[in-house]
Amino acid sequence: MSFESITAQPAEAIPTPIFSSAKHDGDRYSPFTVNIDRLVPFRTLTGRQQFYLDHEIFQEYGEMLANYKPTLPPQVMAPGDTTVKRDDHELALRYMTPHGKWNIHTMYYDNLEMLTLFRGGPNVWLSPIDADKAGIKDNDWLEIYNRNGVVTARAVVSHRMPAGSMYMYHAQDMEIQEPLANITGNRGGSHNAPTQIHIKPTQMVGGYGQLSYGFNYYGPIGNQRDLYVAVRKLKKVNWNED
Amino acid sequence: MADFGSILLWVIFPYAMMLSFIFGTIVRFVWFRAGITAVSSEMLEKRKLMIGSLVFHVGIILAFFGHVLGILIPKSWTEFFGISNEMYHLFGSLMMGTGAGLLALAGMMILTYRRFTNARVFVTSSWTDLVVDVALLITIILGLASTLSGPLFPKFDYRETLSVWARQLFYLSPNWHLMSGVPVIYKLHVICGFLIFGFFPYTRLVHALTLPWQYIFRRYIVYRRKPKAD
Amino acid sequence: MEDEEHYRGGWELNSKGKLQLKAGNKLNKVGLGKIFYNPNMPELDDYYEPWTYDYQTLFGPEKKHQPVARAKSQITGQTMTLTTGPNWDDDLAGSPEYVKQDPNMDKIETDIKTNFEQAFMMYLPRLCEHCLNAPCVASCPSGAMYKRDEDGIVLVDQERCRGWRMCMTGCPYKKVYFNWKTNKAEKCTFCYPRIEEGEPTVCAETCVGRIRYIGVMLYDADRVESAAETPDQSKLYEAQLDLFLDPNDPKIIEQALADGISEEMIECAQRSPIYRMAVKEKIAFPLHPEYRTMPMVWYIPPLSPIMNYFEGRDSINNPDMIFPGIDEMRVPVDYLASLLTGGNVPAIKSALYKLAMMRLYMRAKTSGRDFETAKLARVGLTENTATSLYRLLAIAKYEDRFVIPKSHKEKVEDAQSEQGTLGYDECKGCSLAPQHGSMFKKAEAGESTNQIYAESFYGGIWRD
Repeated sequence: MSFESITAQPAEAIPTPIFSSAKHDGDRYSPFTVNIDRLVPFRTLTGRQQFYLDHEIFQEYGEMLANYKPTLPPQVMAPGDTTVKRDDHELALRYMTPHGKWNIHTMYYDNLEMLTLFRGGPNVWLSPIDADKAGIKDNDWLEIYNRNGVVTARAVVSHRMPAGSMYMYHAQDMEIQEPLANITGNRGGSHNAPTQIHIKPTQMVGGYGQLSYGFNYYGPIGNQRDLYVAVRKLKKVNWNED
Repeated sequence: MADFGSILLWVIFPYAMMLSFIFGTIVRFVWFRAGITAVSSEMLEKRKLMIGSLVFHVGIILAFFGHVLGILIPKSWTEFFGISNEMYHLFGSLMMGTGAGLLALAGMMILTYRRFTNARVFVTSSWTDLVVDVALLITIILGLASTLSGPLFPKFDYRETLSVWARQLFYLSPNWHLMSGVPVIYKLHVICGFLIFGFFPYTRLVHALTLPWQYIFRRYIVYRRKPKAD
Repeated sequence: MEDEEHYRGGWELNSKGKLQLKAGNKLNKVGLGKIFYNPNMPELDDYYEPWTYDYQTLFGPEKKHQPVARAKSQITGQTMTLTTGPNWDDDLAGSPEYVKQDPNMDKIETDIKTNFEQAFMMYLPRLCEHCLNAPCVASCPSGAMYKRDEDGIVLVDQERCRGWRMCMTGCPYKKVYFNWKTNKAEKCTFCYPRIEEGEPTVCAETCVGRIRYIGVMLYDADRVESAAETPDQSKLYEAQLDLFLDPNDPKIIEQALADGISEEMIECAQRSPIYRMAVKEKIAFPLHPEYRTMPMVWYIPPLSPIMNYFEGRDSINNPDMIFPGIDEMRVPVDYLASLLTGGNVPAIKSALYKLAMMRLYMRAKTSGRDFETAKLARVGLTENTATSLYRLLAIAKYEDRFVIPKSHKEKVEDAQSEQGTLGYDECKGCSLAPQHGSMFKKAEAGESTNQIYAESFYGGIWRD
């Protein structure tokens, strides 16, 4: 495989026999098939599929089984943060960063084909109800911020969004079509600009069956994305390409 | 020396252009058939094209038939039908010719303006597209000027000089002396016309030769069958 | 672009009840000026202006601000403000504006509400329909567009296309495109080199959801025109069904063989998944039959808008709720009928009943619940047909989805010398399996198989 071949057209690769598709008989990749097909024990303490976690830290937090946790109350800026002058029409929305329709995680999305398949630049989704409140129309430039950072993106108004929430799909990087944010005077960030890392104590468990490090097996959960952003129209669209 | 100049202009040059036309057409249709298209830019700009293209095509087709009439039909024929020379010049040449010429000119001006000012159209034009536009514009202006300036040269009758020479070209015995008395503006128009004729098959103009008249008589759905194995 | 009252695609009946292209008759195209200017042709902005990014600016010299690549027109090279694109309204994006513009909504009397609670999504992949009565073919003045006799694929002969652009107008699905660089028309080729080899099209092969099926349909070409002239547009779907011939009928087989259709083709027609779904079970429908194009890409109406509505209500205890539900939910059903049957609502409903019944039966069967099998007969199913239909639709095995005969081109052409003559030859890295190229070179250079193996593999894993 060469750079020339992968830029010309998609090519198959067989990365590792454990994680991905060591294909046989034309089977496509699917996780854990090897455990079923070849009777390889699952990498848990019991060797079986396991839902109950008996580790003492999990017991301490009462999270031995999956359980419901309410979201945190809306907070955009905390006391003591830099003050940002509020806009008259400003929304506070729950901010979520789901997988894109055509890409997952940090899969490179900023190529022409992918960008042509939607709006060609950073975009955020919100409901028509919220959009009306702030006078936002489809394809308007928005400025989205909270205490962690600022991102600018175009609005996608759709009734498939419930009121009070906002989507910014994964891996929309700041190299493409990203104007300056009015608040900072610098280029807006990526979808991760308003998020921050929280470490949850239960993630500190290690070396215990499936609760051990394995690349792409065990990672942080989505709690760092349980947050809110303030949304306003971007007044000046300034590119400052110099 | 003057003779040589005249022979060059009124014998060698027209035949060179005509040969180029025939040669080019054959080459284009035999070996480069796939490249023949109308080179439409309607997709890129529509409104100016609507007026420009319609007006120009109507004008140029009328002008084409006007030329055919004026050149190919000898004076004796029209006189035989009782059309006097004055009537012919007034109605046929001056009125019809000016009308067609103005249509073609108006259309061509819009089209040329459009080609040079519309960014999408301009950048997708090949250099021959640009040359063709300008050449047509110049030729039309010269042609129109010739027609309108007719009354300025009362002694000059192109049907006794220019047309006769043009017909002689087809008999392969052109008398270049006939062209000596022709006003300069007519001469320029003739030269430009032959130039366009010469590069016709190598440019987009070739689409005029592929008018799909068969379509009118064809059934709607076309099937094609591969040769079957025996 | 979908509004064919504006773009004048497809066919209509003239005052004598005869088929005529909606964009005008033949004379009017060649004779009367439409050839100089086609008033019904969509413009670039009706599609979108293609753009690109100057990615190289991202590697420029150091500047005050982070560098940014902005959209630039592929045509003019100027910076663009993007306002439309090929998938601009994907996933109901911009729905407050775009739903109103959907001409399919106009045909429905009920108001459409765009709210979150009632939202449902349905994807309708629109591709070239390879119509029996193809208006693009009928529109082409040059005769460059044609339908292949052997497999019905509609193609543009690039050598003969003169760029008169009538096909773009003629196609009501707007699936013939104008290449602004070559100034010629281009369209879906139904991957004919693959079809000739008995392989499915790339779009069908790679479909993750396994929703695409390809099979042979035998039809009576002589009756196409009269079927397309059926006056009532809600009867056009049935008129087209009537054109399809039963490949198991001995008379039809005899006639087909006499007409030079191969036995392999007939055998594939008998196993055709399309024949099963369209003719036998009547769960698939043509897209916009009212255009009188007799399209050949058929669609199974989605049950999901209806199922979603009932899921989580009382559907587990009282699954029969779905049937009155189909009657109750007028909006999705009317919408589907306006898309797929020219307004024939009963046909859509009976397909939905059948799909729902199959689903209930399979759910009962796999979860070990009781099911009154007599109910299957109400929708024309038996236990066997319900199970095999489920297999065809839900398991969707490759060999069930694609039943394609080979065209045996090698019998009429010198296949050896034709090899590699189709497709891109100027594209670097597009050759077959470039990663194997080095291996062939090594073999040519005289390396032994064992040597190549040792160099190219480690631990049974391919190394490039």
